[in-house]
Amino acid sequence: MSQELNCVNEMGVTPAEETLRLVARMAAPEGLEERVKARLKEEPRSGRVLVWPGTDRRWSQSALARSAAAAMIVCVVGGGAWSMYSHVQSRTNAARAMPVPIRQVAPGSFSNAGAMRSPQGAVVVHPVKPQSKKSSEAKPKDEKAPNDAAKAKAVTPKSGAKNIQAIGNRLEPRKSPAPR
Amino acid sequence: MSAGTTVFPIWMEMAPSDAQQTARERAAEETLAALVDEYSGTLYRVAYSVLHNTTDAEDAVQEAFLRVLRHRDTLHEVRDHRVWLIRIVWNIVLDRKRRAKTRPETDDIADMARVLPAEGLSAEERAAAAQHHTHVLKQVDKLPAKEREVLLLSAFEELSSVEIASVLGITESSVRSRLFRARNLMAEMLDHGRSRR
Repeated sequence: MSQELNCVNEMGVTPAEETLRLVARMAAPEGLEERVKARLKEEPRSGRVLVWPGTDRRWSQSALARSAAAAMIVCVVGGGAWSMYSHVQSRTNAARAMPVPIRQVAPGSFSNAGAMRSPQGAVVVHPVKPQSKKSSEAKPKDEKAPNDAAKAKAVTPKSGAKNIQAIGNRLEPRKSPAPR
Repeated sequence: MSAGTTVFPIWMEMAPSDAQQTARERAAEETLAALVDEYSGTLYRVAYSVLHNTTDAEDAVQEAFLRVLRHRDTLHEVRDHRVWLIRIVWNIVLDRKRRAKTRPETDDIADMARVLPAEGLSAEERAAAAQHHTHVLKQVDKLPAKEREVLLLSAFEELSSVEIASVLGITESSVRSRLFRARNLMAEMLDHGRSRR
């Protein structure tokens, strides 16, 4: 059966292909050409790039004018980029530490306890003397600690306990002498 | 430098005049109109054989010529206009077919089978023929894409295997081998359909 369907006629065509041939031979609908032409006329013609009204087309199409325009664009873009680059360059020679204005603390509100914010990456402008190894090691023992550190040291757990006890004693009501 | 020849530097190059430009555009439009007259029927039949719908086929033909219109400046570079146009419309219809894959085509195929020429047949025979055509066309749609494309184009008597190869962008031997496979597959499918009935 398969061979029967696959057999070809004297034209070299299988029966199945006959159907396709019939489709391929079908006539086009009436007036197709006219409709296609009408559609092509409706289509806008490809516009010319940058044709300004009132300008001479020859001038805009000459190679010299186009080269001059291209060179001008390059100059404007390059000049602008260079001016920005040079402007930014002059201000970024070195990072500077800016003084932070001291915040006035209103009475009754929280204070910053004298803490100063030091942003990361800030470069100290004033020179710092390099310290010798010996002096840096000896310092913690000999040198007096700065005020904040001293205060912190003063508030050790032991002393704190003593202080609390003293405060407690003060607040505790004194025993009145027994009535005679 | 000889007296007869004058060499202009590049910056003195003259742009083509308006008259030349207009003449060139007119010539391209005339060529395009001639192409429409000569090949719109062929393109329509190619489109119809794939899309199975008269409106879609006509749209495809119009789109093909619109593409030609956009590239009318390069028309003179085309060697074989017929094959070139068939290739354009072929790409358009395949693209449309791919996009409209979800749309059921059963009605389109049945309509097409009904309008196929059946001269000298009785009403009953016509109905049987239409049924047969519908069945064949449905089986063609089930073929693998490569084989189906070659089989569809081979039905156009005006297209040689070299031209089919040119349209599909393959070699002539590939066309022959695909056609052979397509015929075998079609025979198997139709045989299977008959044995089930």
